[in-house]
Amino acid sequence: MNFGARFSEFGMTGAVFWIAQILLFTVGTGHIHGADILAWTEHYVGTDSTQSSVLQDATGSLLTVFGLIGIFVTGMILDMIGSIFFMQEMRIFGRHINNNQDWLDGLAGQCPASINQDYEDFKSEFSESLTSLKERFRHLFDPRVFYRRLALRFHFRHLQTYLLSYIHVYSDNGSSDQLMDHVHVWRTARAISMALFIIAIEAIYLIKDFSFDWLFCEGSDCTRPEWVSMILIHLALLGLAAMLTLKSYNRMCYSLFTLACATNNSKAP
Amino acid sequence: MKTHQSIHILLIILIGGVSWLPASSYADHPHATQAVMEQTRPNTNDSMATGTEAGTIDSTAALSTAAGAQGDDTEESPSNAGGAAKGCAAGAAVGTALAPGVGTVAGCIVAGIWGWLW
Repeated sequence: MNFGARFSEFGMTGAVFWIAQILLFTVGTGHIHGADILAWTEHYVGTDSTQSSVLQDATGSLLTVFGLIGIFVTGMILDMIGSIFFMQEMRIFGRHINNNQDWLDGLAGQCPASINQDYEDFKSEFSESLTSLKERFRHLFDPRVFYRRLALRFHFRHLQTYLLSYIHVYSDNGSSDQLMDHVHVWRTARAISMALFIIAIEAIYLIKDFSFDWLFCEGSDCTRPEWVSMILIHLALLGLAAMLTLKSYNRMCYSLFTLACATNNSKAP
Repeated sequence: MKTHQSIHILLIILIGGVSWLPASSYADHPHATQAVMEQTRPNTNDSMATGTEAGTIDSTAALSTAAGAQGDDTEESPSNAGGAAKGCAAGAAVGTALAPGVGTVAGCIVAGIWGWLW
């Protein structure tokens, strides 16, 4: 494991999560004031002015270390939880499979039977040419489609790992920096969007007194129900979370499939 | 029962749990909300102006009062539209993330009912 790179990734995502939590509880809801946090820290950790300066420095350093470890672990947990949008990621992956099936058919034919079977199952499930607009709309509200696609999640991981391994083994340059960058960006964006998703759910229950007066008080109607602000914040956070994950995943898929195709072509006699 | 059906049932229970936790511990009823708004706003301003902890203490008291009001009102009227709406929103968010369409509807209905009941 590249510890430095992982530390920066997990540190950044963990920090985003905790900063968002502090903003939610201070600016968003007013449940906690910044002074309360400082007072709590001084009270429980002992950094108040009655302590000696040496003890204050030692306590401050210890608190910094605890904070860093806590942020790192939070980032790691967010990364481990993975994406709540994994069904949408599967759909994007399926779309790329469909777009590249002219050369993937040959590649999958050379693979062990299990990978070939995963590829065929995935291709038939996400084949867009078989479904009309009406059928796609019906699929949205059909639980059987959801169950069928949920059952394909292991096929999805298998195929994605296979393509990454294929590039790593057969490409002349190993895994390209571009692909690795896109993979890391996707994982980081996925963890950040998970943090935003948690904040969006919290916003439903916690934000009660946040009326956007500066935005709505143009005319005589200056009173808006509070749930309008809450729903706006909730939807904005959800939209941002989905966009971060799916955009970065789509970009990673472009690199993955393009590099796999190029590697496959370079292998051809 | 198939594995994926079991997973779906677990997800529904999870969605319901998300709606249950805050809905039962926070003041949702309109009367309770009004009590919070009336008592919290001036105290928050005082607290910001003076920098003391009085606002925080009073806000806590207001929340306690509101929670009491919720309990009293719940005995008189079982309506919990706020809890249902919040449950529906949370369930719909989780459901949409997992399966737009069927997940949205199922999440909203299940978590909404759960929020209403609890």
